[in-house]
Amino acid sequence: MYNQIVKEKISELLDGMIPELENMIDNESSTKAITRKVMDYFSSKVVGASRGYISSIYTNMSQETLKEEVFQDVKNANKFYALDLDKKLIDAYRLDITTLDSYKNGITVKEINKIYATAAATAGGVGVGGILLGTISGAINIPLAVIIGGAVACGLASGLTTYYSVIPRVSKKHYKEALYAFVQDFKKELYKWVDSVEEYYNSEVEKLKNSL
Amino acid sequence: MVTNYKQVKEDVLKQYESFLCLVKTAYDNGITVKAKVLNSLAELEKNIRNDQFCLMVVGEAKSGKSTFINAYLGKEILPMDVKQCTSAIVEIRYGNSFKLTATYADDRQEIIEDEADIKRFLLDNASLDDEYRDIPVPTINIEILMKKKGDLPHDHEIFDLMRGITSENIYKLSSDDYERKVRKYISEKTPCWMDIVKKIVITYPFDDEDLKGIEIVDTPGVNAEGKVGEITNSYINRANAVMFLKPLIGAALEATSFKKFLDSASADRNRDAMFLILTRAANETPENISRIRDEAFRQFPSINEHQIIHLDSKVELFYNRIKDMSEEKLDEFMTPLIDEEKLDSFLETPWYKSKFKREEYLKRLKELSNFAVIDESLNQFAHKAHYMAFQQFLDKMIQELESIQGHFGETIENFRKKAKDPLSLEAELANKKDELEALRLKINTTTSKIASQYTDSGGKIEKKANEVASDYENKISSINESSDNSMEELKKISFRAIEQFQKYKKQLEKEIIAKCDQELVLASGKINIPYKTLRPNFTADDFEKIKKDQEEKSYEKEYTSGGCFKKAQERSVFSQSKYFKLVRDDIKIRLQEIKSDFIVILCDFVTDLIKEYRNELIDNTKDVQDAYDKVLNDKAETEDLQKKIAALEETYRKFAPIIEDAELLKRGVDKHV
Repeated sequence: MYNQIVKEKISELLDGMIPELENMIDNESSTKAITRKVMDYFSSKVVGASRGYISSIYTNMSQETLKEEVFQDVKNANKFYALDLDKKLIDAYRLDITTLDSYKNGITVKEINKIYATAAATAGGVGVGGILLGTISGAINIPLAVIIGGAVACGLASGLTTYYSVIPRVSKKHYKEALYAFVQDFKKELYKWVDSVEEYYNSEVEKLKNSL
Repeated sequence: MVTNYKQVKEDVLKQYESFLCLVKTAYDNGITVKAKVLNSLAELEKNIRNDQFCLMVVGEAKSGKSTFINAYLGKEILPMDVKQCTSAIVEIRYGNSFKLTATYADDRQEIIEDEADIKRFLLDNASLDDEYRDIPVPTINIEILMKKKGDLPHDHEIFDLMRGITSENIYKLSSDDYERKVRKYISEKTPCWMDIVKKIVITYPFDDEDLKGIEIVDTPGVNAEGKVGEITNSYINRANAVMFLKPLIGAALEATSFKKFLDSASADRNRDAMFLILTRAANETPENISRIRDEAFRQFPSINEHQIIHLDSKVELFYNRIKDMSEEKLDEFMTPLIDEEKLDSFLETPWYKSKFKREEYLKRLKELSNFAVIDESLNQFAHKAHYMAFQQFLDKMIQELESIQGHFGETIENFRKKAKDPLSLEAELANKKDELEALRLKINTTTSKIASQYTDSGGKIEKKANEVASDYENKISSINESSDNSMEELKKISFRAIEQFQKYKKQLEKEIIAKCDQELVLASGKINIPYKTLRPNFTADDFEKIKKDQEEKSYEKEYTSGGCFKKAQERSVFSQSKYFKLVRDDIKIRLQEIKSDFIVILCDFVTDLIKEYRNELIDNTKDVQDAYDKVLNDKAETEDLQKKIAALEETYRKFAPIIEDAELLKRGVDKHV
């Protein structure tokens, strides 16, 4: 399935960011400044690329769908297009940097802790990906950049599986380790995101077929 | 005044009247025009009728800005012959009465309506205390007093200021005396900073109809370094024409301030509308004027030849004063002036050369003032935005006329067939409906393909974004951060990158619609339905709908308005290079966000545009199908059918000449764009 290709692109994108992020860590002295830069850079790269991923997934899945027998009827095929599934997918699954006052003014470590703890509790205590999907579904209203920043900052505790406490002062080595772990974790969650896009598409097409 | 433009505008509006008549006739014959198209055209027509153009006047202090403006308006509104210019922006426009509204540095307003009071106010705010006539008061007001708002400046701010205004020490005071005077002025005026006037709006009931659409903005004047305050910068961006005044004095053209002004970010953003106006031309010989103009072309190759103009405002003012005098009155007027030696030589000499004949004298003055060239240049140039509006208006109107004409044509054809053989027509139209369904599928499939070429991962939009970002990164890396102009360079490059994205968006709009139209031409040709009856006619509202959601999500506004430079702008213009690195690094990081924003904005734009195109097409095919049904369901007998066909044919014949006239007019308009 083409979506495997999208997952490979995701892996390439995220792994490709690590050298640049390491550079930022090396050049900066304050944890707050590093986290801010990582947040900005990481989230904007992901947002830009993800828009193309949704388009590609739709293009390939729709080509397959229209080969099906039921859509050889002109009227049925037009009904498929009338669904505007491409737009629906984008609206439902876009990853966005929405504006938030604290984000613009500079969010503090304490605030990250608080927001992240709330988010985690709402999402049922799963990892960052659960929170990612939680924001997309509208269950939690937190911008992606804050989540990323929160995850990175929160992951600085020893035992990197704990996301809910923050140590403001860490060594660069420790920070980098937290970053690698975060990137691998985020990768998995983006794969889950791709799967969700596919599931949604299939369920909409199924609904249409049942109505024909 | 700008008569050619006025004529074109009248013709366009007349064309619209003809269009509305035809629309009514179409409606009476059962063919409707979409409400949104009519509304859009009505909106465009309103804007054309109320057109405004903004002419901005900049120049060094004492370059003759107020004299030029008074001469251009034909009315002496602004005080001339005063010792210094103000720190205020002055806007002049048409109004029902002569009124002045002043805005002070603390944003409070004062309204003055008596003519004598207005003139006194302008004089009071345009002239200076004798004590401070040898320091650049407007610069100090803008850079220190209005920014500090009652706080005394720090030493480093005074240092930056003194460094910046060294070249304005035109009375050659010693540097200690110069600084002492500046400091004294600042400490005296700081407690009453709020009484500095920052903006003046004057309305005047001009007789000349053409002046109703013009707004003239007089500015505090660039300093010798070509720098203007932030208030002036914000006007430059929206002005239709910016005229930089430079007096013609002496043999050489010393235009450092103009050069530096041209290099500034704000002038760069409106570079197509820059004029260099060489004033006080009456004092120079024609040979000298010609030589200086040639020198100007050499120094400023980016300025169009027609945009370097020499003139004399004093001559034009004098012309305005005497033009309505009779032969006798003029003689009575001139004699004492000459006897008492109160007339400038450049006004006296033509009087003798004209042998005291009124007509000849006026003709010579007009040639000497050269103001007719200003009219011509503004006509050709400053109305560009309005000619583009005419273009858009005529395009939409022609497209809609062709669509209605197509409907008429098909309807007539179908009625003829019905009169001949109604059963055969029924079968034919049923077939055509199926073909329309197939056409819709064809368009759906091909437009989907078009969208994916642009929006998919690795598609054209991502590629373009990478290209622009890479180019931008290279350019800002090469800026010399210790140069005085580093901040200006950074702003210019940043705005140009944004412009590239915006240009690409406009280009995309045309490209996508053209590709979709191309597919539609092919598909509709196969089923013998006029393409023009099916073709979507996008209105400004359609694009507004598409843009609305996107604007709220993006940083686009922050970058296009220059908000990202805000911190740097709060500093004095003379110390911005210090903050360059700060702003540059911040912008570099934000570059990734700009790129990401634009990928998302452009991809969303393409998706939404294609969706609108399909929706429009569905509507149009429904209209065609409805038209078929109307013919099929028409109960008229053969004789009545013939009458109906004749009436339709009569109306149909009216379309061609009106479309032809509109196209001819549009070809004329195209030349100005």
